[in-house]
Amino acid sequence: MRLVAPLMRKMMDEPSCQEVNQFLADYVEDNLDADVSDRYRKHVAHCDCCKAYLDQYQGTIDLLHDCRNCDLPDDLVEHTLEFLKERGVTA
Amino acid sequence: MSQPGDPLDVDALLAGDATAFEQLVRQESPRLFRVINRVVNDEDEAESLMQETFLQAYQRLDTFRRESKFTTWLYAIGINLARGSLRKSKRLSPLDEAAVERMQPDFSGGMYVDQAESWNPHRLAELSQRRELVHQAIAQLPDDYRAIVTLRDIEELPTDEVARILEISNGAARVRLHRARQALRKLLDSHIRP
Ligand SMILES: [Zn+2]
Repeated sequence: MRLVAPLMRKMMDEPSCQEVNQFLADYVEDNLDADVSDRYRKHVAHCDCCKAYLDQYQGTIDLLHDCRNCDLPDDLVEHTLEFLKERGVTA
Repeated sequence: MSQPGDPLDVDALLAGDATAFEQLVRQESPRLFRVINRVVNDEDEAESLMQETFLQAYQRLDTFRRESKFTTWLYAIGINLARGSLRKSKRLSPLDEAAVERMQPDFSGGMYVDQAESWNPHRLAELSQRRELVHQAIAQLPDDYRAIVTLRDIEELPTDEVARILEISNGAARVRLHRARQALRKLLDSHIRP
């Protein structure tokens, strides 16, 4: 099966999981040409490996997006303006 | 009176206008602090590096060439100062380049060697320490990977702007970002799917 699958894919012009993975960053951001993106979408639709991997990849990005707010030190801006004032930058 | 989110008055900035510079500080301090802090993992050091970033930007205003956004130029100064600080302190990240390489998926005949399993959304939602988990995972990555994930995926700056800040090509930025996300995926997977 392992040997036949790559050959079959080539005949059917289907991308491999590895190829889809290589362009995953562009795929999730919709940066690929429409025909390439279509080929990948079709592959992912019936490939459980890619589907699950893509899910985790997108999940990672979502977790990162959710991570922006961290506690800022008290008076961060005021301290900085004070620092710059002492050095003659701001009034 | 300017409001946060107002576009910067670059002409006034370049003319050395103190009010414009104060607006820049008010507008960019939180984000610049977050970015530097992710790279150096030390709040006190991050605050002092951020202040130094604004000072250096002010002293080098005449070197800004308008080939990029003003903030891109500012963040490049900040990232370089953060890197310099790490070099000086000789603090090493827990993971090196070889470890990041090992966390990339393996393929055989174009197919995944290990099949991933989708994360259970309920388990993900229940995970109370999600942010802490992500924070710790990022902290393990080598500096260059921490920087790109922070700029692109946490602060959500466009990839071409991120590439300019890090002074690398768009292609190199995409590759590094992809490798960083794949390493993080691997680190998170072991906690999310025990
Ligand atoms: Zn696949």
